[in-house]
Amino acid sequence: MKNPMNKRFFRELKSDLGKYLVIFLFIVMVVSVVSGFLAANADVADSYYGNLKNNRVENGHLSFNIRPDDEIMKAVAEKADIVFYPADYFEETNNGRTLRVYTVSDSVNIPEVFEGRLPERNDEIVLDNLQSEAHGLKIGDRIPVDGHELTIAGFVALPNYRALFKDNADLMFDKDSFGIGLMTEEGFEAFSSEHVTVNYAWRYNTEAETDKEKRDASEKVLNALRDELTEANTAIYMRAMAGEQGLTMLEVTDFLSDYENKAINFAGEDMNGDSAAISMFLYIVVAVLAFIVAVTTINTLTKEASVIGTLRASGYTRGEMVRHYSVLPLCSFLIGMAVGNIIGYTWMRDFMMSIYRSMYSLGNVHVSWNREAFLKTTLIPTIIMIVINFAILIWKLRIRPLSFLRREISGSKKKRAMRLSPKIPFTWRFRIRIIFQNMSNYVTMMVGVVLAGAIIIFGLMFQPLLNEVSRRIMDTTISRYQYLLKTPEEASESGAERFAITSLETAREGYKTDEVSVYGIVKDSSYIDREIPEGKALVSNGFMDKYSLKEGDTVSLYDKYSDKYYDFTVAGDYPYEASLAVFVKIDEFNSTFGKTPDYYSGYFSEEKLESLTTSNIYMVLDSETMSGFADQLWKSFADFMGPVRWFGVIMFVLMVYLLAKQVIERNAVSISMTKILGFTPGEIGGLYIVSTSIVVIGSLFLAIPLVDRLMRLIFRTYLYKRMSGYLPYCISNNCYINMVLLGIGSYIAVAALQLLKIRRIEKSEALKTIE
Amino acid sequence: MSFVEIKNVKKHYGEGEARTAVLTGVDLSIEKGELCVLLGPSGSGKSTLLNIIGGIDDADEGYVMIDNEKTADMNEKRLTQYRRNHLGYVFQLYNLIPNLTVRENIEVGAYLSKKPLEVDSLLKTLGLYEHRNKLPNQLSGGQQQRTAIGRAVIKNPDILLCDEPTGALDYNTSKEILTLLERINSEYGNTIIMVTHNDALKHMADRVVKLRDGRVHSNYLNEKRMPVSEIEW
Repeated sequence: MKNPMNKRFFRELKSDLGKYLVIFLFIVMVVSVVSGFLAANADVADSYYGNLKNNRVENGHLSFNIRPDDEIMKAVAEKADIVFYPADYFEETNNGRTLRVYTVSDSVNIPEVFEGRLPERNDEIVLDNLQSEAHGLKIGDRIPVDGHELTIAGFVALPNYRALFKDNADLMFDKDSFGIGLMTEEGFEAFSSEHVTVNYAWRYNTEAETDKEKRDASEKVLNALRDELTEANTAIYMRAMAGEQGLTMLEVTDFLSDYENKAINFAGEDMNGDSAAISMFLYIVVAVLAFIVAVTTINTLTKEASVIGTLRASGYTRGEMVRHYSVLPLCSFLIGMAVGNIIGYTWMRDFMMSIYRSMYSLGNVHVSWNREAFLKTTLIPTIIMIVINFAILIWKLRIRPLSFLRREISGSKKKRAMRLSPKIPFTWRFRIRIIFQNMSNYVTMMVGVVLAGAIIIFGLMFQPLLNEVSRRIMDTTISRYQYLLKTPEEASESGAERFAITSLETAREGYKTDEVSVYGIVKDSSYIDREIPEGKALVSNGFMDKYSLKEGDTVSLYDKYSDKYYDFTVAGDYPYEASLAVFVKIDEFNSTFGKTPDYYSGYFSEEKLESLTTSNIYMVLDSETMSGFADQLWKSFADFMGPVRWFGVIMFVLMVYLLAKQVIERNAVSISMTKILGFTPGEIGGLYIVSTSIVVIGSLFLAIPLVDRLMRLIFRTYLYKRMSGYLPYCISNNCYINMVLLGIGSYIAVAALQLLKIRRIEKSEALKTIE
Repeated sequence: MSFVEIKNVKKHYGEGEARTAVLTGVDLSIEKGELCVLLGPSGSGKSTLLNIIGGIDDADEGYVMIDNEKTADMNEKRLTQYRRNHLGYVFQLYNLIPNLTVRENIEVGAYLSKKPLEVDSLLKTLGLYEHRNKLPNQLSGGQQQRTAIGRAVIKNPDILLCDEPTGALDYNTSKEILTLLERINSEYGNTIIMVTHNDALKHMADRVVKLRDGRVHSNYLNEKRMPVSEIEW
């Protein structure tokens, strides 16, 4: 015989459709987003890693100030067991957009044609496929490059430019003002060689697999390069000493191994990191949902306590009861999960893929079934849901049948009524008792509101944060322009102040490597307005914050070109937000780095330095460009953040609705009785809805410090270690105000539904069920 | 050995100053097929004794033995199986499942038994056949209690435990229910132990047990049971 209790399921579903619909919708929403994301992520990752291998991504590249002799390159290649491939490029800046142009190669960094074809004629160019979306370009369009008109022949994905980082020190890629173009060799040669950067890509003869192997292999290249450079420069020096004119020392202006190259790795790391983070997010949300479901089931047990007691007394086992009361919530959950996965693997995957495509230069992505993603979004959440619900149900149903019959199911001894002063108005005493009586609902609600609040804040915080970053960069700028020179050169402008600069790296265990600018500052500087103590260094505030440095600490920085560590004693912080930086006296800088006492390599200036030789200027950093990275960062985030915010709001509404509904249902008899006594629905709402409102609004305010702590923790333990560069932790007060307003605004809709529910409770409810 | 043997059963609630002795040493034997009425004023321990017999409450001391099996020796799982196979419960409050029909509520009891009675036949015996497709909220109190009795009886239990089954009913409906119990007892031969504070009901019993202050005050067999229809109160 089939259990006749099973006949309850459909009727129960019909009578409490709202509850099961909310559970269903909640899980559909979460699972579709997460599975869509993971599926897209897995497909993109497959394409990404496949392309790196198949299209022979470089193992590194290096640039020189002048073209080195072939013998030098040959010697380095032999010593380091690598093959060099010429990979010169030039850059063309037009309307603030920089196009870096290479030639098409079939040996290294082979382009994958996404649309159109590779260039065949000298006046043709192909662009990375992000240019098509970012600037509305299409095949056949003609673009101006250094006075030439070039026709776009196609769009490609390059393995060495998955993310468009113009410079490896940039905090974020910049698809809007930076792009890559490829031309035929003949076409490339038609351009002026004056702007060409002498660049070589290399690949190891023996493939390096692990990080350590890659580091060692890169180290080998660097050592070989150092040896050859020293030898070559010694020879140049000797020739110069012998009186030969016009000689220039050979310098490496860029050296970047693949494992450090953000343009190659950022997308992959982003995908891996996002995948882990979003899976964790799913598990947290499911755990919260499982507790919400458990609370609703406990309410059902309370409502049906005497029936349960009778059934248990008649011989129904605890297992039968547990199974019976978990069927509907679990079915809603499992069906929600199935529907969520279907949406996730179809529409949502396409949507997520489009977001990835808007961020990274991807080639052709093949859609495939991903078992791991499916397990992550189905098996683990289901286990979480079942374990939490069964554990709570078993714990609740451990009570003996007699206790159910007596409706003593709280598990604890009968508590005395809490004493409330008669001075407190009656309505407030009533509300306080409602809150305490429904504590489990309200505690779950508070946890959920905090979680939803954190998601809303996450969706809201980045735009104001990046505006703040931009403002801080402008406010703490040292000078409007920073000129970086290839060789020292006197500037005639009066406001120009010399400085020396070099770039070192952090080497802190557990953190991603950061590039740190070490500045040598002249005595009585007009630009650095703090005295730098002898033998010590001022450290930029971002550096101090990110690495939790304090005065007196020693910062150890690494120079990969000389394989040396340099220690700096922190004398205090200096407000400078444009990059991680260390400021020392220029004479100490020169002695530390083996420079001549009068060495310098740049100028601070409030005006453009026209007197300098253009070809001797290595780089000009202006404050607008430096602060502009915040805009780039926001553009990269914006597509994601809008949906995140609304996801938080929907989660908030569904959860508050479900739990508030439970409070009303649990008190249906009391509400009915108050109606009999003559209270109007409005007055009853004033008791029950106001109680829930107090909890919701209280939770929203409580969420502010909790979310603040949570976000701070995420920044410190996750973001700061995973990201190179510095993003200050600051959440605008407006974000919290918006979170509270969004919460209250959406709660008003829930409260209206609650009032409707109160109106629907009949007076007969109290008479019918009173026992 | 009697079918139900109760030896020196003691039970208290609360501790310290709040300690209340409910049963202070109850000895009682009930034979198979007997209709036993437990009488006594409020607080005399009738319901507590019934709950201990039914295995949903524990005795502090003493034991209950049914058909040579001590309930105190059974663990929770075994006790549940025991109730499932041998006992039927009827409470003052009907405790029906609100979203199951009359028939389905009775089937809930039938599901527990390997050899349940025939549902339609029992519905007719209970006078509920015409109401079989109604939900509990469409029934009168008497009809609801008859459904509850049906749910207990359908599995043809050895012992039917009834705790104030007419406590919430009016005179005529109470008579109806008691007549039904009387009929079930004679038709199916179940042992019925019924708790009531209505002294008049002693006439319908084979055995009358009066409890006072947690002890058996009197325990006797009626020479002849009076039909419920003839009892007035």
